[in-house]
Amino acid sequence: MRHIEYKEIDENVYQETLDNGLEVFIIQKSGYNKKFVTYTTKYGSIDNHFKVNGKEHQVPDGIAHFLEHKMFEKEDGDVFDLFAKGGANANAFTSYDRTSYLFSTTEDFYKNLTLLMDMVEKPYFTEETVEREIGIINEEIKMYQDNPGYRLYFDTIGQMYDKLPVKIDIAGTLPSISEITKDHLYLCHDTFYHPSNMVLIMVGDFDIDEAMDFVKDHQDARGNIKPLDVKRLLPYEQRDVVKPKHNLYLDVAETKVMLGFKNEKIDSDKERLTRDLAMMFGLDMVFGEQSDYYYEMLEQGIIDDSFNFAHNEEKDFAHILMTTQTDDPEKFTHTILEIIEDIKNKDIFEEDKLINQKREVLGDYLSSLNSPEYIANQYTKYHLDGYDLYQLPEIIEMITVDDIKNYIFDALDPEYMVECVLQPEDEKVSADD
Amino acid sequence: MYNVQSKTIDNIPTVFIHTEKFKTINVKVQFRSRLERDRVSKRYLLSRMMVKKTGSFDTESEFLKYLAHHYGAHLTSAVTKKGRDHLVSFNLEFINSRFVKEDLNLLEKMTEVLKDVLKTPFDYGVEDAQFFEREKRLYINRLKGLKDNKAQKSFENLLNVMFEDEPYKYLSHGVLEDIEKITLEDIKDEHEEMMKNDEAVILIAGHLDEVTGVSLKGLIARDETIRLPYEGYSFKEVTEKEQTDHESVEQAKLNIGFRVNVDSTEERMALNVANQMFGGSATSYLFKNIREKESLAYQIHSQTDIKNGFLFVLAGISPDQVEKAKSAVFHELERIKDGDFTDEFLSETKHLMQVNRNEIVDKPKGLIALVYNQYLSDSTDGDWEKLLNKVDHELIVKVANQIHLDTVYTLTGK
Repeated sequence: MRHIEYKEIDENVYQETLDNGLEVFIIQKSGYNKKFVTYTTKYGSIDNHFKVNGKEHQVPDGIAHFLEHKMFEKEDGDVFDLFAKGGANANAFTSYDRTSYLFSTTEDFYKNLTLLMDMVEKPYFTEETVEREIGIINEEIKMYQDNPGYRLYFDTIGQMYDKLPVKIDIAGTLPSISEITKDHLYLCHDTFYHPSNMVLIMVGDFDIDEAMDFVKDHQDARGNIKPLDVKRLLPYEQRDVVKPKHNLYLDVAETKVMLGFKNEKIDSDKERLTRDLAMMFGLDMVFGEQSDYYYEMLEQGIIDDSFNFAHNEEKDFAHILMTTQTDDPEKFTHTILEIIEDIKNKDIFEEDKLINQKREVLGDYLSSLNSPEYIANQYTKYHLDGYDLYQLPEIIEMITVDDIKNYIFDALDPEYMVECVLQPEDEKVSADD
Repeated sequence: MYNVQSKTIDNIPTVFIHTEKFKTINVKVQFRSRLERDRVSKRYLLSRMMVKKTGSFDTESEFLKYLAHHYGAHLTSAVTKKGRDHLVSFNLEFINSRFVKEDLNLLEKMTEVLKDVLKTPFDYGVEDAQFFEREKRLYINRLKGLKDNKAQKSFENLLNVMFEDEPYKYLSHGVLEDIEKITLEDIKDEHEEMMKNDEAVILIAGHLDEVTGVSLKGLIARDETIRLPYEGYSFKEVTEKEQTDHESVEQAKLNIGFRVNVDSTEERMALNVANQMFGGSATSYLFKNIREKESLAYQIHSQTDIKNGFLFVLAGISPDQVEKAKSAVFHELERIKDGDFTDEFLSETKHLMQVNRNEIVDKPKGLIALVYNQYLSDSTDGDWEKLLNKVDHELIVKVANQIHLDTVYTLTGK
């Protein structure tokens, strides 16, 4: 077992890779009542096309999420009930590239930990239970369809991506999930829930040796699980967008607009993290609440305080999204494009601004470390991306103004921009007149 | 793993919550007054203005830069309803100085910021008119935007039908129609009223030391301590109401409101437990039977305001299944009323509530909220546990039978 002490931030991590390939991290949080565990597989909504031991499979959209739902149901009932009986709160979520199962409790920890590991490791699917789940997930899909922000987001992503399955809804569609069979589910479980494709993270106040031994004994008892030869088959995605402009009409009162700037993905872990951080700082200098541009747009009524922007840097894709509620979407887009031109000729990326921003980000980061949930989720994310959450302060320190300039102009290239405008339905009628 | 000490500083009750597990210090200044239509919108606007612009900084961006420089100190305001009251709070979170390599007394600096924030509205002048107008516009936009969230909108509609002439229908963030006519003078008056006549409490949590109290001196000063009663509304006889509206939605939003006749802390705790069993958790009757067994809804839950004796059921249902779901909800409630639940389920529910309570204190904001609640109700952790332990099968059945249907509101497709 490896022990890493991070003195500056007063954190301790214990790590071991078990014989079956499972990676285990214990993050010690002295004085906490709560113990929080996540069990994560590197398998998400974009993994719908893959090869196992040479055989190619295309599975229905939304299956990773479907599988997540079905893992809670076993022959003798619902595992949610068993967690509740054991005094634990359990949940799970699916993203583009991972599925996490989690629980928290303040007592009977090992009983609940066994429950979590067994639940994730031992699938139980029947045609009948699969059939019933389609109804539940269909209601979930419909619920999101009533959320204008979600619709705007997915339409924007759809305008940007042609082939990459990031454009599909994580939950799939009613036709796609209706195709799912129990055999698909077993196939995906066998393929992606192998211990060597998984990470277990436990955060709380632990007897470290006892906790690690407990996981080891459980994993040893599973015997030898032969790893499969798995290849993910992701389509090649060019940088060109599918459709630069799009209007979406819904039963809403307010107009919203979203802009997306598509970028090339980066394969090197280190470079990817550098761009991610440099973009965070750079965008904040241009559009953040400490910038002049922000207040100019606010004073002129081009944006309101729903204005929001983020750079999204993933292994398989990268883009920037900006959104606001506005009466004049055209003017918003026009102003953003003007600002992008303007910053090329002005020296707005300055050293003293960056120093101040780094202090801010460091403070936010330390505040977040109060939360076991944040630690477990972000530690997993950084780990899967090839990094260590607890080394973030050192990496942030290394970002320079030149890094920002190096990435930001390319990332904000209008040639790779899409614009999606969400408008009230009655405006469609008057536009058609 | 924390201890609480109360002092009165400048006639303001000040609660120190000492714990070493957090990397931050959190300060909360809590104001409390009666929930009234005339007050809520002004208070919300006032609270937003206060955390954006203070007397010591010429512009908002300078203020934000100052906070950023102090390791991203977070200043926020929040409004909420509690009992018969409206609460406004100012919260400042900053990292503990021991994680900083330079010699920077963050607590002292941040107390200065808070003093400035609390005092500034007294000095709002003509030069602030533009800022005021802009904040008004942003406020209007925010409330308009909220109405595009159908679940939020339908809950608001339920409150309007159920509490037609009662102040409880007002949301903590105010009334859209009232914003336009607010003047800067109103804001200044409301601020003066809040500083003078509200109940004010300061709470601070984190790794504190003996000088902490000294730093907080002068944050607010009064000639005498103000303590207001903390009460809920008294039970009002129900008149059953039903309303359905139509918009283009994929999923119908079914909202049901009940009034509960509870008049003791024991009964309120029993209502809390009954709600968990009925629809407040993933093992509840509503979740298990209506969502899992019958696939009638993706989301369905119940929530309760135990201080006031209200119970609400909120669900997203297929438009053609609304009637079926509605009867199913009533059926599950009847089961609780009839005592159709096992003692095992009751004790599991209580156990999980205890675990959730233990988890709250692992969050700075949760810990502060819990201690504030104890301040208001003059109680301790031990009291809460004792009340929970007292809840048995009989008490649940008794309280469940005091639950009366008031309003069914449905927002469904065209």
